[in-house]
Amino acid sequence: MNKKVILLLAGLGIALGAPITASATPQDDLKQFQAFYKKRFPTVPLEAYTDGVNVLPQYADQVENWNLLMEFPPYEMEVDKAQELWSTPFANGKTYSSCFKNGAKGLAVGYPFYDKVSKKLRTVVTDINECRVRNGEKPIKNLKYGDMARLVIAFKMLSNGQKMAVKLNSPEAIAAYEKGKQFYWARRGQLNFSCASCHVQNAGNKIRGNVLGAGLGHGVGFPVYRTKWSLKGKPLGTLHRRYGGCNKQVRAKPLKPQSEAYKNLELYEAYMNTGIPIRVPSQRM
Amino acid sequence: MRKSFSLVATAGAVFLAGNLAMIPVASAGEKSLPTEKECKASKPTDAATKGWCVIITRKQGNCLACHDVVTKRWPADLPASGNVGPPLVSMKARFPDKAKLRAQIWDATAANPSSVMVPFGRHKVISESDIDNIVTFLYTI
Ligand code: HEC
Ligand code: HEC
Repeated sequence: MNKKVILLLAGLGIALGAPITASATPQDDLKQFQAFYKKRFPTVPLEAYTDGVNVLPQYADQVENWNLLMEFPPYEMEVDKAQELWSTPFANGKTYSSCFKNGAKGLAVGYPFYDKVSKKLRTVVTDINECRVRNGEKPIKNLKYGDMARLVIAFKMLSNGQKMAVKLNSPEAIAAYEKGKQFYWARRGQLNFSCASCHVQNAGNKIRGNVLGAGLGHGVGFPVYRTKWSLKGKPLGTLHRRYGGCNKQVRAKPLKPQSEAYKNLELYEAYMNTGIPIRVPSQRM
Repeated sequence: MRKSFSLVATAGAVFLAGNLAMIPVASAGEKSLPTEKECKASKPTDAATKGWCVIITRKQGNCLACHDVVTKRWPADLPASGNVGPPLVSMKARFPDKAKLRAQIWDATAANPSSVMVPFGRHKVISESDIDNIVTFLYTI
């Protein structure tokens, strides 16, 4: 089994820890990444990765709790708050919808993207804050939970069920993608793990009692409502909150949400999710 | 290395199956090993027990995160172990060269660059004497 993994990873053109980028195009990376999981979890269809670790056969004996929660999802109240925030006008009378084409319907499948005009990699979070500023409001400071998470939920719900389709259509976009890929495969922290150590090489294995979920699908369910976070009174979390948590676990310094490195990482993961439907919010344990 | 790694993994799977089939129990006269709490409270002085305590203590070796440890002296109330690494079993027979066993713990990536095992010595996660004590303990199982 492990031998197979190593061979497959060699096929990905990557020795764990240090990508030998050779000349793999993002399209090649995508094909190989998704094929890897298809081989490792042959019974799990691509669209199912939306639900994270819950869909892995190795999690079957633990999934009952999640199934029970999903009968009356605890995130319902947060969704109400999210929609209220989204539709409440700014002091100038305009709303968030006014900042986006089609009121933001269906846009989330294309985020993040590199914008040639502002010369920036834009995420849903940066665009929501920019919309606020353009309308005379202060940007939201907390980018991990709370109102920003709610607004991202409202934004992405307008694309629920639609498949991820991030475009890498400029040299700058590809450069950001390559940096994100580097981050994903590089080992870090005192404990010396890369993202791939856990979510590729050991997806489906147990670390203590925790089954490690596949890297495929990371982000399409975010922001999530997480039981563990709800115990501290902050149940919602953006994707970058989760990145910070996964960095801390290996005793690496977590980076700031919406830092360049995390945005690049989000771009890499989002591109790997091509074809996987968005489903927001999600319930996680 | 890759070849021997896959052999190790296969051996591990066999031992794991055996371990699940018959949960080992300490026989009369054998005291079970201390739990994490007991380690903290009793501060063991012999090298092997010290090594065991480093293995199970989460903020130290945390080896159970990835390994089962196959011993008849397993305490009753330890949390579940992970399966990222092979079960630790019959260490003396499998590592007749003590230095090799120590090297595996000091920096597993030296022998296998793609290993996800934490380089405990190289990254100074635990002390050199803790590593020695772990090796002493592993030679008892
Ligand atoms: C030491 C192991 C480990 C490392 C290293 C690690 N993670 Fe995780 N990660 C986990 C565990 C455990 C979970 C919870 C189970 C799951 O969803 O996979 C998780 C969950 C996640 C989730 C949430 C998935 C969901 O749908 O709820 C994301 C996203 C994620 N990790 C991204 C990353 C990224 C990006 C990196 C590298 C910067 C990384 N992780 C490194 C262990 C790890
Ligand atoms: C994050 C996962 C992880 C942790 C934590 C971990 N190991 Fe490992 N260990 C592995 C993996 C994976 C292997 C398989 C060989 C390799 O990759 O180096 C392994 C192999 C071994 C081996 C060789 C086993 C054999 O039969 O060949 C020994 C001995 C060992 N580990 C001891 C330890 C000790 C002692 C600790 C704690 C101080 C520890 N490990 C912590 C993942 C881990």
